[in-house]
Amino acid sequence: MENEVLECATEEVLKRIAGRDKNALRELHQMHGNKLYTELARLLSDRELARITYLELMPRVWREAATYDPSVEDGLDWLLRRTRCLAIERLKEKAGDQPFYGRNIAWEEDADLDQTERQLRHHQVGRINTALRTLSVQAAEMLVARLVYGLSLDDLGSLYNLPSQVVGRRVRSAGVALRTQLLGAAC
Amino acid sequence: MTIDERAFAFVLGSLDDLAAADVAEEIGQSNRMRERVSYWRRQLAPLMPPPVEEVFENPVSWDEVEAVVFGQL
Repeated sequence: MENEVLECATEEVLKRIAGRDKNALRELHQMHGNKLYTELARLLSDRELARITYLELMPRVWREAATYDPSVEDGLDWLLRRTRCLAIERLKEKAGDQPFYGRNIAWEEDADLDQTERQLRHHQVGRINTALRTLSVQAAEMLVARLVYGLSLDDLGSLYNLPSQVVGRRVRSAGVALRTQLLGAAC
Repeated sequence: MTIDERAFAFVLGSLDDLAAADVAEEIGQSNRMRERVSYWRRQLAPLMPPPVEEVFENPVSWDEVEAVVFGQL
């Protein structure tokens, strides 16, 4: 119930920001600032960079709030997607010719898993990392950005300066290539 | 596309809306599709982001946000 109220409030605040209501941006900063900053700090692994990036995020929210469509997704999901998109831009700048997520997909220990499940998870992560490394950097990045970070094809299009349809085709091709690698390695 | 390719693309989210709706319907009707989707979900589970447990306090003040968005100090 509380989440639903907060969600309605987020949608309302985004609508008001789209209508150029400065107080609404302040409300959004107070309502979701901690959550958005935490997401940046987690993705960037650097609190100071997260602070600076948050200061880049807010002008984007102000400019792009008009593109938010409540019939497509929750307000907070939209905000988190904008946040992840910006974080990936920063990670791409730092990564050079490596994928933005580093050499490997990270895996955080899950205390709820027993020893066997942990070994299986470790094995799966290893297999997926090995398969991802056989793809081009861009293909691997697109898959991870789409699947892990939940970016839309439009977001990916703006990240890679490509039309969404082209991105969609490349993500599908990368998915098939990853599947082939995983299936081949399993045989 | 083979059943595996469709299940994989469904889990990956790379099917178009129509094809995804077809797979969703097939999951309800076909044990084979349910199995394949479940298999690929297990394969890709490690890629899913871990839940955010700790929430950090945002060090950015409203004054700073106001300054960068509206150019006021």
